[in-house]
Amino acid sequence: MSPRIACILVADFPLAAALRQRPELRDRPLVLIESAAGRRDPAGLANLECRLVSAHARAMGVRTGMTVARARAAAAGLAVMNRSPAAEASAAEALVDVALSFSPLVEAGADGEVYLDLGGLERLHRRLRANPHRGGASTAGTDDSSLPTEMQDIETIETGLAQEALERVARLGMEAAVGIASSKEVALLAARCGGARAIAAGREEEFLNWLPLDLLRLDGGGGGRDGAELEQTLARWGIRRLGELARLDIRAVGSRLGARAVELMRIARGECRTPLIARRAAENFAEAVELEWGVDSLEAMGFVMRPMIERAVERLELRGMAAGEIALALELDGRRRDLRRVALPAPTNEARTLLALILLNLEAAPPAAAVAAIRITVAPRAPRAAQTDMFAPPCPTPERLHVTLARLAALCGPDRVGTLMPRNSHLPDVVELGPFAPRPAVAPAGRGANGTTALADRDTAKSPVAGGATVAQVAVRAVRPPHQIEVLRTRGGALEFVRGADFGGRVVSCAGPWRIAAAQSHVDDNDSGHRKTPGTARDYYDVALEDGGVYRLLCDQRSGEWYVDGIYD
Amino acid sequence: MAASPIALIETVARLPAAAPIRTLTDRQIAEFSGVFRGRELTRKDRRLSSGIAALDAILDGGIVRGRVSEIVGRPGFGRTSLAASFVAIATRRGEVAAWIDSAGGFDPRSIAAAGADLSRILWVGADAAVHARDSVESPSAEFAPARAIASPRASVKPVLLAAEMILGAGGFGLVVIDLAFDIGGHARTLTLSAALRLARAAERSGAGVIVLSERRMCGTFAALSLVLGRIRPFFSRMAPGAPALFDGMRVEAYVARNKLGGSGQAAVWRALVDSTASASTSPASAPTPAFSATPISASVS
Repeated sequence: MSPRIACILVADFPLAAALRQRPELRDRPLVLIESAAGRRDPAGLANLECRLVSAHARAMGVRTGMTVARARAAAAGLAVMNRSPAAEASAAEALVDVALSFSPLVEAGADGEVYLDLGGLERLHRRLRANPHRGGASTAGTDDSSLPTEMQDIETIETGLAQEALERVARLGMEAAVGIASSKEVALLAARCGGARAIAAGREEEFLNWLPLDLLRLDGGGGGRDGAELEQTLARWGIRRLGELARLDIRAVGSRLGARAVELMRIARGECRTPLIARRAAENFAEAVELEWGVDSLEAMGFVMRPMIERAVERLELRGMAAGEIALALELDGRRRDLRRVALPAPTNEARTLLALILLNLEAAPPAAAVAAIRITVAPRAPRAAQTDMFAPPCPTPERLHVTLARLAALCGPDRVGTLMPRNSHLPDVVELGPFAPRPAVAPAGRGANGTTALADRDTAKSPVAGGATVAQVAVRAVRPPHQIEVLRTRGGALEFVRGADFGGRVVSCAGPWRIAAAQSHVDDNDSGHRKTPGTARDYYDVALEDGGVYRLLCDQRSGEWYVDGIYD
Repeated sequence: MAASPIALIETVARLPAAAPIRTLTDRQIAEFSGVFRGRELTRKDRRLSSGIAALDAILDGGIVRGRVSEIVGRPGFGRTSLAASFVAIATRRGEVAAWIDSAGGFDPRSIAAAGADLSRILWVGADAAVHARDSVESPSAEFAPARAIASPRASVKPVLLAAEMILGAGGFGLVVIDLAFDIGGHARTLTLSAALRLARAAERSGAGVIVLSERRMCGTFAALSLVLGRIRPFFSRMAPGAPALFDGMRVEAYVARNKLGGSGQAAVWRALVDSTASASTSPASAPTPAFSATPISASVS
């Protein structure tokens, strides 16, 4: 069986990468310049050369090499952007992500080219059969009935796959063309024809025959000056199509035009089969943007980062992943860098939540200077999947729960959401926050055949403390932070009166004191490992005041200050 | 005219076990009992018990799921203890509960002592108006994690948003919204439009929603308003001259409003510091101490 290679091609890749970051310029003529100062030097900008010109600008008369001033005179409303290697790298990674969403064997080619091995993946992508209502799809053969049924089926799947690839690239903000053939070269030529095109195995020659010679890109496709000469020579010979080139004598052409011409002839004959060299899948999803002007407000950064996060989330979704952790790298004015990590309580792909968490982080510790470039790197995590029990009480589905936790963390702060547990300490108010990950509920083993017995038993389950009687456990309502008060004593030393801001009253009953002393110790800290805690000694009292409430008071033996740290409620 | 199947099933169910059944075969009885049981389960499953018999009796089994129930009372009147009882029952059933804490009053030790499974309780510190770590002067600064300081700017908006997020996620059996303020704190007021949003979210999710507050806030959108009355604390001594101990308190509840019937009823129960020691003792309205000790209630220590 012949290999099947797909090529995803984005034409004018630097322009496409720029438009991916500024989609609002898609309908305007656009040129790219290359300048270290970028647009920050308006005086020098007019004299810079246009390096890359969009099709829209080209139609208006703008050409590569023109100065910006001339280009602006030729095309009204011309947009000028500085070429951004960071944006191109992000776009290239996004293209690889699209390819990896179809096949594990992917090779990143030249700018805007990605090859993927589709051999043996027909069954996997069977659901992507070609949809006649989708546009842009075509196959090399015109008479499909001549192919065996199995081949027709594969061709339909491949065409559908090419259509799907186009749509996925479009979701990432670029326009691409897809070609599928038995070799990388033919697949690239098919992609250069535009749209989605699958060349059936054994029909490469038929497809190549009619292709114009221009598609080999002799002048700009790496051929350089030799390529231009070669193109002129072939034009003088009257060769316009690949089929005509293929029919020449290969030895004669080689002796006259050199190795490059021989290579082109092999491509034209469909004999060139460069192997696909797969690369490892990216483990991080990075989106970068270089700003033309430094940004020093949080709101403006939010505007810049929102589309970046949305693009990263799209890439994650293509790969079936969720965002697990975010690394934020900020290039600040003055050649300084600000690196920070934003932890997520749970993997999520909700862009709004991710943005909120990043902004919370920035708000807590603003950058020291204006931000000139932003790089957001998202570490992927596999979304947790679990099967719920039909007979167990309902629990939040893991995905919904993770998204909800992330949104709650964005709303209240990451350190305000989770499972609050008492820490192993004698002090009653020492608590620690852990991640909220409830175990799935398990239906009791004693359930009946219809499963209803378990629910009935649980529903009538008695509390271990209440026991269905008129007794419950009294709970303490913590006062955080402890509220400082003043305590008046009788001559005998008993507590008589308590007063503080918004609080006070005569002591009606009192129990205590109970002294709790904690020596200096080392405590595990999540952020900085071990840390030293000072020793403490406190006297605790349970005091009923005349208002009817019972309060837990403490007297710090070190300072002699009194606090109320809980209410029996 | 033939009786409806449900009426027939209920008639059969009310028959004593030994009563002769002439009109139905054994097979029909088995089928009907299964249907009856399923219906009964469905009805029961819409209620969440508190585990306190006196209260469940006046609430017809507990609070209604999918509705908002508010527990109203001053600090120290037993709101938290009652909410902890509901949470304990829900988590012991295997359900997941959420506690939205607007004043940082959630104390995991006492909630766990009430029988709740802390690993099944999502705690949300929704006092997001101001985030601050404890001041260095605070005696617990070196031990406690990040805590919030109640602020005059604190609003109920984050609490409501958090509640809507949790209810929208689905799968939670109980959501406790603690709007009560503590010493030095500031009252949070739930507007009627917010209460309406909360009631709708509760209805969509089917979760029981308990609002703890100082006063009734939800108006007509609360299916149940339970007002807790003045408490009576118990103190005791093991022996004359021995140190005094705080045993617990007597809690009185009054159903100010119940859309499903039962308004105006009252219940009394005891909330004890060590309820396991006295769970087997007979309930009494008198402030009997948890163990044989001399009550010193209402005496100055």
